Amino acid sequence: MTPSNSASDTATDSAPTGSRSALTSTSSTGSRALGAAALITVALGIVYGLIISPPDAKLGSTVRIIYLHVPTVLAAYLAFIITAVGSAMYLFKKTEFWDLLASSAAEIGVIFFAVTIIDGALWGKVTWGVFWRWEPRLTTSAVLLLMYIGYLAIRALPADPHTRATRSAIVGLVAVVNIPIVHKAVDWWRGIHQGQTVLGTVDPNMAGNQLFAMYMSMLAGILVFVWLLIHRFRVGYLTERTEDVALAEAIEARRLENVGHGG
Amino acid sequence: MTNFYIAAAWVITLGVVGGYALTLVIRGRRLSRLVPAERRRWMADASRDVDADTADATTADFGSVDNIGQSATRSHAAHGGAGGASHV
Repeated sequence: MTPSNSASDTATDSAPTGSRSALTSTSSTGSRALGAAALITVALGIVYGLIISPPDAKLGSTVRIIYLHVPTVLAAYLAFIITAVGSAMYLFKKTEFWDLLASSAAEIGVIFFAVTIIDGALWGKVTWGVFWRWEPRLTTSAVLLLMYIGYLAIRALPADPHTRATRSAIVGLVAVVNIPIVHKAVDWWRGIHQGQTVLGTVDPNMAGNQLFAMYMSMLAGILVFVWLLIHRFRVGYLTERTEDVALAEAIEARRLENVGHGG
Repeated sequence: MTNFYIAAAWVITLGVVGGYALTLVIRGRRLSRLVPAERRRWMADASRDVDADTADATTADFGSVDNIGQSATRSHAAHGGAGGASHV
């Protein structure tokens, strides 16, 4: 029951002459402009983070990993907060928009947070001599990641769209409670992880090219996140519409079958 | 050895995020061929005049998804009300 041919024909037939690729993608004028801005900031982040920024007085060259670690966790937190807002709004409004927004943000958040943990492990290997320690910040971070992987697993369970969206919205609201716990873990419990950097602003000792590299990386992280969110949302939307097309074709085939039998 | 871990962090980060972005673009292109242009709300302006390409970015991206939200009420109500009709 693939909706391929007829739907494809309809899509291409209805398109006017012009850029064919623009008509068969999830991009738009705005998303292309945003993508270009994201690429420029990423390029500047690479140049400043790896070449121009001097080594840190305390951290040495490992500060170059911090230029990745902070932006990725910032984007992940943002994603998980959007997931919570989308989840709450879904439970209130019951519309596909909020469900798609929440699930799209959660998937991107998991990607960014997994990368954050990997970067942190690499930084820990250089600084602490080990990739991982079961200390408060790292343990709560692992729990947070597992909760959002659980969120995505729930979405993969077979269920009708409303049930799936309701279940995942509840998990999305519960999971976000863990963010302040992760964030405050360095204050509440004794551990080896350094103090807050993300929401407590960047290291106050940073200045000049180091500070610029950090801000550029953070800007790049946010722009890339927004670009990914727009495209992931549209992919999710198209997936739903594809299912609609398949359903319509199945109904039409059944109707024609009945007409045939009746005749 | 420190430089190895720094390089690994950058390669992994850019590789994972870049790879994910690429899969989204590919999935989007594949799915876009299956859905009529008029049902892709962000294509509203481009469908009218592809070459003009002057639509306001904010409206094109976010104004349109609001419309999706409006129409999606019907979509979820229909799915939920049918009790899994999508599996027909």
